[in-house]
Amino acid sequence: MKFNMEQKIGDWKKHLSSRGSFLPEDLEELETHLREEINELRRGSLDAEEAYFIAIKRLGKTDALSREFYKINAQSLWKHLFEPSLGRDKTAIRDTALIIGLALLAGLLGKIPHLFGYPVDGEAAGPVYLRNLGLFFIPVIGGWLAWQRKNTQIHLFIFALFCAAGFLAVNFYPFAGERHTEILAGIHLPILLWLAMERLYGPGQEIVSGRMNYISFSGEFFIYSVLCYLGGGVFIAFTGALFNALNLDAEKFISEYVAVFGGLGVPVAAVYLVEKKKALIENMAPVLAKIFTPLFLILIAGFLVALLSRQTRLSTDREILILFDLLLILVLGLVLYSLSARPEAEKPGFSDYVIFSLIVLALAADLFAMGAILTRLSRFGVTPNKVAALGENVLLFVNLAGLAFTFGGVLFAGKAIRRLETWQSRCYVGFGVWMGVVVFIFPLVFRFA
Amino acid sequence: MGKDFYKELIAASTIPLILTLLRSGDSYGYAIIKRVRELSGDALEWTEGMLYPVLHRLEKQKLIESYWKKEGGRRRRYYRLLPAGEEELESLRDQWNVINQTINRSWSRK
Repeated sequence: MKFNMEQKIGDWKKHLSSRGSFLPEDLEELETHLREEINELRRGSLDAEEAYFIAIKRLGKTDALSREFYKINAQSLWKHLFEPSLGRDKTAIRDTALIIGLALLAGLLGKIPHLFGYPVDGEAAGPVYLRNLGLFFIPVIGGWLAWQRKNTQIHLFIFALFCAAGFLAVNFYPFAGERHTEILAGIHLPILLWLAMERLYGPGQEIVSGRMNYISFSGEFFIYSVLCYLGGGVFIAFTGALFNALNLDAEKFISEYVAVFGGLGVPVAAVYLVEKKKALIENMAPVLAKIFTPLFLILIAGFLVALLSRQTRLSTDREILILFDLLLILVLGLVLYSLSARPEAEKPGFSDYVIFSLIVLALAADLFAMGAILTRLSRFGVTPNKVAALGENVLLFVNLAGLAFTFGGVLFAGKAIRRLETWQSRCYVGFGVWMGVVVFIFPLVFRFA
Repeated sequence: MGKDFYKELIAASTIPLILTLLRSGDSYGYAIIKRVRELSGDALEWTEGMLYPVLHRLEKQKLIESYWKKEGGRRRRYYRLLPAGEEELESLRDQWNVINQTINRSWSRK
């Protein structure tokens, strides 16, 4: 295999960053240093690979390096999250103003249904807002990403096509009856659009690593959004309580403005935060994954033991299908996060076996549960909800099974982790296709019911 | 860092050395390590893991300050000696001289 210097340096940075002791400036300083050392060594007739390894060795052990930096950075790492290290120069102010404007724009888009006679708290509001949910904020994010990057015209065009097609489908299909397919389309369209945005995030990147980067970007986006929504919830509670204290009813104001503008502005702001403060969540997410991976391993093992030994009946509602879909998504997230922080060349360690066992047990639990549910669900016939939930379960199962297989190869046969990434990148397409099927084809197949 | 040295000895000499090198002009981590290697005749090999935390600590103590300078496409972080650092250096130098003389004299008596 050819030695790829940029990738090696990238891995090394990722590894350092996951230790959580370095500020972004520290990493930049160390990287410049490393490159200088490498260049110096190469002038002395070493080849790239030799130069890299000698330079890395001279740097000192990662543990020692990280411990020393931790001593001086311990207090400032958190502060850094909130301090606008941007702030000072003009472009930073312009960037911040732009993103506030875009967050407001997402809120304004969210007010469009109101113009057509569907206020947020009105009677027929639910379906209108739900089916258009993704269209309020994801195009805004896509536009911003495209503006940030270069050479995105063609990708922007394709993304716009997805948005337009989605808009037409959810709003102009003649949904009727219980409108299950409408709700399904509304839930799946945001995911489809989000998946379709990948090339806008990393236009020039090679396909596999581009997708892996985008997946970790999405995870970081999710964590930031949750944090912002928690803050927003507190804000809304105070808004209501304070106006109540004045004997004013703020409920209408909250639901019509605060909820719409806040709810849709948060994802836009979260994307910006991920971009600007990437290093901090990069520090946090692997730690979270490390804590919760063993916990979920124990939980699933417990579930399996209970299921197999006591002959208690697993209830067989549709909710169980969805519960298991969510469980598999969570396991997938934990696995991808743990793996993304894993340095390529590292020897398999304890936490790797924990991850591997988690995948295997989650798959086993899913198999048993699906076996029990399917036999009983089949009696009630085929409904769009069931098919969608089952399709997702199959996809997630296949995805995790492939991860178990490739990761097993890494652990037990010394294969390259690259195979795992290639597999994940293929599954990415699989999910995209299925989302497209649920949004565009389901309504047709199930006659808009 | 040479394995033969007492850790404490290295640690104690780091700050006076850094401050002295910065007195003759602003510099950055890589250059400082290289300069120390040369001055010591390859006997002292500092690592980044040791140097950068010390630099950052000195910066926090306002003995030196840092600034970024763009060079050849990458940004490089330079360090500059501050007046408080010069004072500190004077005091450190006095202390070193006393210890140095004492040790030298004690050895020459043997």
